Amino acid sequence: MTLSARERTLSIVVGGAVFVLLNLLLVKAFVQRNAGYRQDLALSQGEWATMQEELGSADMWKKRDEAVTAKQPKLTNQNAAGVELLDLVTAIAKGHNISLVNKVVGGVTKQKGYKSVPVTVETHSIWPDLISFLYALQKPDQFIVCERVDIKVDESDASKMEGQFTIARWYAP
Amino acid sequence: MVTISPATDGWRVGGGAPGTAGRSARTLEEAAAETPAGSGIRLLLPVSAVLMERMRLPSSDREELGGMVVLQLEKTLPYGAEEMTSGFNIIRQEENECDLLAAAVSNGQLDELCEPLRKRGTLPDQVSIYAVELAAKFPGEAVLGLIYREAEATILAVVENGKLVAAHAGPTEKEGFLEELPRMLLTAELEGAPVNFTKVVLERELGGWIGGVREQFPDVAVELGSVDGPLETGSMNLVPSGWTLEQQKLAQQASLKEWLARAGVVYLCLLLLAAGYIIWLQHEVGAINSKIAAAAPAMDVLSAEKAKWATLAAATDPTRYTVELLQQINKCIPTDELHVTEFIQTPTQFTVQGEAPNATVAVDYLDKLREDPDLKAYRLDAPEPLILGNDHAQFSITGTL
Repeated sequence: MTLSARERTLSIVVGGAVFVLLNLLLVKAFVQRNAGYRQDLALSQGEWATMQEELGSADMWKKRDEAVTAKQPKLTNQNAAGVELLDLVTAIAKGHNISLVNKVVGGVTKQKGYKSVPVTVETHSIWPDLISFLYALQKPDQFIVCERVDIKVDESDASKMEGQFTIARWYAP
Repeated sequence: MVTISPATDGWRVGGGAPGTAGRSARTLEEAAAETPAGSGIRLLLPVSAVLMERMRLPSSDREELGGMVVLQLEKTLPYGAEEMTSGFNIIRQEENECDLLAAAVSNGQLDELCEPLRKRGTLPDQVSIYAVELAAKFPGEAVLGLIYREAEATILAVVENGKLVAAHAGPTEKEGFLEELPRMLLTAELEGAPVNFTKVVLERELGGWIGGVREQFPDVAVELGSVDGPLETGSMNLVPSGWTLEQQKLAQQASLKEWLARAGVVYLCLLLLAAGYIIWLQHEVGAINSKIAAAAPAMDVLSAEKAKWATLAAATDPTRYTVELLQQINKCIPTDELHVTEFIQTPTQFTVQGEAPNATVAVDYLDKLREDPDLKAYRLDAPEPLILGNDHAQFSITGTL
């Protein structure tokens, strides 16, 4: 079949338009996929870099975890734990000229990651004694936490401080 | 330049130029298929495809002779000048006269013959007559009779000093040809061609005919000879004038096709590159995701260890101890006139309340706390200080983990 000049021109125009349209679709698809994959790649590379960085310190975290597991006290006697803690706090307070009042032993509360055995006390002391008491109270291997502290200037004697403390020992769960 | 010439069994492709070997083709379609794309073609026509006439014309100028030949041919041939292509070969030239062999071919017939070539997008660059080119191989013979086979005929060619003088086609079978030979010789003689041959050359493939031919020419040496081998390019060219334009058009089309083919290859390469790039990207994403998935269990363990540490930080991290916080808070007090009146702390938050001589000092204190590297873990917020009756500013700063 032989095409006339007009038919040939028309077929070239139609073919060209289809070709251009097809290429536009191809380019659009390429650009979209390229952008999508590059974004995915950037995210994945970022995530992988972060993971590598974190995994680089895995040994340190493992040692920390082993140390915490080894040192965190185990709750063997729930009834005596509160009293033991209060005795300890009282002894430390006595050693730093802190007078304790309204001493209350709380019950064991189970939290995510630990069991808390709290005691509540009120203190009256001068500022340096309070500081030395607090310094002696919390040590890394004792797992003693001040769950609530409220220290203010004693209204009746501005040279003294009065404090309300909820002190707890965090046992292994 | 590839030569297509008539042969015993149809056509011969190549072999017309020195150092080239010919290939046989039964039809011109096959011959066209054998022709390498883009190479020029020299087509040698069989005697049966052309009309030849011996003429004596009163001129020696080639241009004038060309015009005269056309006029003479128009008188004898059933075509107009525009319907045929003609050429001539000078046999003998005197001062004001020329003996020549004029040849004409119908443009229509030539078009029809060359249609297979045209379909392949090419046309011969040169068209000549096989017998004329073959005659040029025997320049030393005064009058030579040459008998050879073309596709559907046996040709008797009369050659004078390497110039074709007359050619006639006869039957292909031996008996018919030998019977026809005297009449062919008589016709040639009537046309003015000499038939007092000094030698007769019989194509080697017709070796079985030699006895019969010798009987026809008892006083002449009859030899077997080869008509294969290289042929010189003669001066006659029967390419129709219309073909030049068509050849240019075909060349343009071929050039366009070649350009389009190259563009197509580049386009395909680009497509493949783009597809390859996308596949590579996909593979890279997949590879990294695989690494992430493989490392996930170790990350889970690490996350659990970190979470446990964070949970117990109030008990294990000295910077979170009450005494440490009080130390930082006191350290940042900008002036003795600022007094902390109350400190409240939980494991995740602390609040400092106090009184400053003015709002600027209170804000300065907040800035110092914010700049303290040991308190970086806390987000420090404070409402606007409250201005008291004595112009002092009461502030409250909260730090949250």
